[in-house]
Amino acid sequence: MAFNSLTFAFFLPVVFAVYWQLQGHLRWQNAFVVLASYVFYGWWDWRFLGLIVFSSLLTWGTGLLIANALRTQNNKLAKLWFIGTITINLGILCIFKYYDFFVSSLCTLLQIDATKHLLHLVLPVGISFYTFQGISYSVDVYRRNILPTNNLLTFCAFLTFFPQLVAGPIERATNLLPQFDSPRRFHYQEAVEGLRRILWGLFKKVVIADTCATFINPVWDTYSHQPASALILAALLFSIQIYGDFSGYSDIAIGTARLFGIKLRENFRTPYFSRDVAEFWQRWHISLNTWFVDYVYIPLGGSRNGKARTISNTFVVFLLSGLWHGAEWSFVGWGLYHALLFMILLITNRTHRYRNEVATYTQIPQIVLTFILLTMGWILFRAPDIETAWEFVYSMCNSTIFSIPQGIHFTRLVCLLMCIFAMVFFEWRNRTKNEAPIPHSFIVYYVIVFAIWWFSGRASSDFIYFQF
Amino acid sequence: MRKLVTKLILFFLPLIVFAVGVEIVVENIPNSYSYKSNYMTSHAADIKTLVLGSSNAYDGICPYELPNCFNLANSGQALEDDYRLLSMYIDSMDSLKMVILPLGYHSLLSSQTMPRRLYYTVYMHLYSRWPLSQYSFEAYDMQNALRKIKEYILTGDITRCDSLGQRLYYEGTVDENGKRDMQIDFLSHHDSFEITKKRDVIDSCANYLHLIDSICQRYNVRLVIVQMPVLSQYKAQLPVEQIMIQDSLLRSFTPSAIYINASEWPLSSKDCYNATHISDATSISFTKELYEYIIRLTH
Repeated sequence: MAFNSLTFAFFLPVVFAVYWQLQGHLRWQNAFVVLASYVFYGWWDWRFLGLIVFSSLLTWGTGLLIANALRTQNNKLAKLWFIGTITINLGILCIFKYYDFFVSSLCTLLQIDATKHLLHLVLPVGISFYTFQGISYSVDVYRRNILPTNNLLTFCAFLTFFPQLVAGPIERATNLLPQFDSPRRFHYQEAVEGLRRILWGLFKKVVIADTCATFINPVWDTYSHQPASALILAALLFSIQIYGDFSGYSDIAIGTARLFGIKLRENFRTPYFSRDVAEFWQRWHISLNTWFVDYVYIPLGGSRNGKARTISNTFVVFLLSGLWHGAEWSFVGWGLYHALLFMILLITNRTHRYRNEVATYTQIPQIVLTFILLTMGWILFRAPDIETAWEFVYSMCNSTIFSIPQGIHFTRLVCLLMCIFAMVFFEWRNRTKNEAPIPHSFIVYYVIVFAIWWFSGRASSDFIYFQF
Repeated sequence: MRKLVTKLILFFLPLIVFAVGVEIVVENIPNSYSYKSNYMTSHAADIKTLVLGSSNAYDGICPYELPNCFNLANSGQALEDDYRLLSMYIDSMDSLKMVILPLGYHSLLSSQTMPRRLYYTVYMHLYSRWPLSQYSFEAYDMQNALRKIKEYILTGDITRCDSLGQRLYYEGTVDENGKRDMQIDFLSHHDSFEITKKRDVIDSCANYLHLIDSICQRYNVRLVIVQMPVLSQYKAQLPVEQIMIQDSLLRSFTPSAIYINASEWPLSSKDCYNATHISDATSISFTKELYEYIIRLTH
């Protein structure tokens, strides 16, 4: 069940109404959250519910066992449980997501036929997200950052909370578990803020991202027949599409959670207003990046062991981040491309230039340059393979750069550009705040609802990050 | 909470009233799908020849040249839709003798095109409206719904087919000089596929072909599978493996069905709307020749 579906439009009010009827009964509220989350997830494919239940039981159970072993000073046993749960959780992820990729890559290397060795498993929606959330819980328990919860219902609510189950933000137990452990009261203002956030998220997804897709997909399908101007337009629009799509999803997730009295972490902070790539990574998919920093980069030594080690650690993190997005060499290439950009800043000691500092008008040239660099990276992300990405980039650099792209619906494009301008305008004005940047006005709400309705039509598509 | 619910109801009420109004109006405007559905409901018993398939059948088979024929093909109609339509009407088609299933080189790749599912759901009742989705209501696509209402008010008719179901008015794409564009490169690129990458879709389409074939056998109806004529320049650009696999798959339906490969039927660009769609005028001569050929084969 996607956030931009009619089914969700019926599902959400029903769940909201029942949930607040249970106000004052914490255990029942949590049980209902788990039930609603299973319905939400099972709507895609009920067969994978078993996987989530298994993952929940495993992570919860081993969390208790780790804590128990630590309490009795049996560190070896705690380590054993810890390694066991991490191995199984990562093992499930690897089998579903990476097995075919690695086997086919190995077979290509050894020049043998891979077809009979492949499993062709369907990738369960959101597996990367809830697996990482579960792993963070286990690590935090093992590191004694948190105490494990004894309550299975609370834990299941934490791991499967439907707004963030399939595409994040990847939550930490330190933030989310205590919220499920304490009674929640309905606050009118919170709910209104949640709804405003949902509206803004839908605008970004349906009006911006999906409309961008109607221009981008035909160009990518026939890129070898397209002039350079069309390819450049498609590349630029894809940067907008992926932002609208993913940050739109996060906005809807955060807004939906607020309707239920739960505060999720921010996942985006106007990333395209970044002045260099280092700043971009502090603002884009924050929950994943901080996950990699806390659970990979810092354990590897972070920046404490000299520049060479810092660079190698950075490469490892970007490589894994690329691979996390998908089992394709193009994603690995995308990760390495960002690692290279980051490395330049690292060598020149400029990775922290813009920390906690808001962009100003005079820095727009830097913002534009960063956006262009990011757009080049997104070509790798969008391409089915590295070869296609290279051909796409190569085709962007020829004399047809000034020709007018054929087959483009110009009225629609102008409407889209106006909407993109509106999004940039509102987000720039509110770039310091973590709330929906739209004015508190019913007229604005109606305009946005009509825009969503007008653009949604039949072109609405799944969220890009569902495939990860 | 009561305050929030009240405000939400007041906010959404005008929108819901508007949506319901648009839905009622649009669903009552006659279109090709509702026309075909109504025709099948009232005339199914008289039909001796039924044409299924997608746009190349919609344009390319002239029902007036075949005995008691109705063209039930439609743009983007996938084999799954063909199968469901045949299953739905077969019991009421007492006189049915022959089902003609024209295919193009895209046909084995055509899994159901989701936007069209709306029409099969709302007007032909092939699919359930539940669970609710964007394919359950016309008003979900407000842009298109209002365009239809506007066109209906201006022209009085948005039906795109004639009385026996063949498409009217299709002109294909015209280039900037007003010349008809055959779209050879575009269509050959669009219809080409690597067999290994599309195995699942091909298998699914082949399965629907088998189901159509088995219905025809069960009801003692002759199934005629026709590989439709295309421009030779278009066919030359398709992968040889794709052509061979499609040909051998369709050949495997004989002898229970008749398979006619008319892909090399002589065509020039003036006979077509584009590389894969023959024109209204050409459809008459093609259908006439096709029928004579079927008669020769069956006698």
